[in-house]
Amino acid sequence: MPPRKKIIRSQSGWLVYPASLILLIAPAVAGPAGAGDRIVAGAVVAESPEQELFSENADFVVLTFFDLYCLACQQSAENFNLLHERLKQAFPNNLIQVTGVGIGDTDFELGVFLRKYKLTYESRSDPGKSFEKPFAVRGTPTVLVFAMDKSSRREIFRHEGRFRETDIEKLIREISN
Amino acid sequence: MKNLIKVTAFLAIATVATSAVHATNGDNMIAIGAKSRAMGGLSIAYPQDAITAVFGNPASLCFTKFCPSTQGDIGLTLFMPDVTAEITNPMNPSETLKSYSDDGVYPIPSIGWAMPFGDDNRGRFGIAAYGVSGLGVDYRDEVIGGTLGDLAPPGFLPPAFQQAPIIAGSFTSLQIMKFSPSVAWQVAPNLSVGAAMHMDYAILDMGQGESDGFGWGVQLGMVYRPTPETALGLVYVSPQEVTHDGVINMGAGPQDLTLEAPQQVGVGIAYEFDEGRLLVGADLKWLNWADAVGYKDFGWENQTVLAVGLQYEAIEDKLVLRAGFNYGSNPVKENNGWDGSFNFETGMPNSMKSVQGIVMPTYFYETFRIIGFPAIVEKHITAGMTYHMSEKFAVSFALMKALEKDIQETGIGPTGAPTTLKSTLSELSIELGLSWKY
Repeated sequence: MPPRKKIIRSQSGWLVYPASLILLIAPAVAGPAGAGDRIVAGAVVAESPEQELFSENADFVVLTFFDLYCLACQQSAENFNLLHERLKQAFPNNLIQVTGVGIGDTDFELGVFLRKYKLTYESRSDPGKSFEKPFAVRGTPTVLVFAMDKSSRREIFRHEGRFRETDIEKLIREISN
Repeated sequence: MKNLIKVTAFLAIATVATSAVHATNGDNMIAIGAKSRAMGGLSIAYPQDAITAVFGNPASLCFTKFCPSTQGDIGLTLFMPDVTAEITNPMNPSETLKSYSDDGVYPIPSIGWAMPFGDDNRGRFGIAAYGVSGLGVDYRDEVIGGTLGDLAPPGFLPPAFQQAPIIAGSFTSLQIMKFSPSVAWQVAPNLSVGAAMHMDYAILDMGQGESDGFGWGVQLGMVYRPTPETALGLVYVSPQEVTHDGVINMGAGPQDLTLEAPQQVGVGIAYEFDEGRLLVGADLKWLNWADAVGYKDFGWENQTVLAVGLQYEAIEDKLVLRAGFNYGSNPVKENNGWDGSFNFETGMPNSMKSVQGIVMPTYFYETFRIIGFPAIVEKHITAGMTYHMSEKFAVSFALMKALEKDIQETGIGPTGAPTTLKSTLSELSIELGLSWKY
């Protein structure tokens, strides 16, 4: 069965606000979605859980776990985008993949988050929280960095709680080391 | 959960058993919880622990910093009031009798706990127990705690007046404890609503023995975050009435007295600067004492309370410093020109007041109001800090100083001479709070 394809563009507008009020009934109208459904800000792919978050060619993989209903995530969103930008600048010769995961978020909820906070990198919903255990996510936001090689990956950075601008530098230092 | 309720209930009882004399905004504490107290009582838009969230605005349970983890808080306040009274000697109008209330150090414990529930942790359940109101004086060992006969030369007073007290209210004690389960729900990513049920246990002693009673009420709240940095809060607390059986005897036998905690409306705003390192906020509360049973009978007026506070994260994730200011207008109305005289031939007062069917001479009514229940302080300066020992455990400290305030009124005393009644109150409190996140 081919993967369901959905495209949610990172737009903002007045619709975001009334839409957020509808979230009470969102789980009922958003339809089923699993960890294998991958919504991205532009394109879509479907793979198996956990492994599919890692690109084969990446030198480093940065995962940002967030939740639409988490205030600290809302407060961190701007810095997630800044992180994405700084990584590109700091490591022009490395392939650094940044992926967001809406832990516990339905497609609809993820869409609201993306539209409101205009995330500039690929993000996917995880309504069943299937990534919570494999990545030991205790709360949101959580930012993880993995150093990749051909046969394995190694977690080199973990941040839990509000992600501040100073945390971007800490993360970049870890990758540099 | 069962154990938690047991512990909460135990501490609730301890709260009542150990607290005695405290008064700040009327007879309400300015805050519950060390973090809120250190910020002048800021609690409606941006409380920072479970106790404060339940006390200040149940809706804010969803948007506090401790979300989405489960958090338990426990606090101990040491409250040190300083109350003095000055009255014109009824037997010698040229002399002023100054007395010092027997004030000690009063420990007031509090406990709170909050946990998430529901998809995405959109709901939070909270429970807290704390001493919220209290007031009282103890002049029993002072000169004004005696009788008119103590002041008059032998044979000067008619026998009926020999044993009459110099004032009413030489000993008073009111303590109100709340046990409050609450629930909050995030109806949208930036909007939360909440409700709490207040179960009140109050003990009143007017010098003739304690009388306790129960009351209940509700608290409704809302928090809206128009931007991730801005918090707006709105809260309403319903009036909560407690009747104390047989607590007062003005010569006609023990009579009941009902005291009603007033309805309150509050709004709050808070703004985070520098990615949350600096927080500035303000709360504005209106307390409807003028329509509250009991308080309105003693001429209390509505009160507006302004709390402003700021917090600065001095060492990232480790040390937070706080300061605040709280102003609550004095709700005790100043009456002047009253006639507190007695007819020494008939033994009857020339003027009477009626409180819930309890008839009392005007002089005793006024001394009871001014000397017995001097809830008059207005300005509070606060400071404090939190040190995060680890990711899960934090210690907080708060200091509050209520600046000295007096109330003075004049009328005609028992013997027909001009009389002045004056009370002065200042307060100091320190609080230690412990928080666990898990």
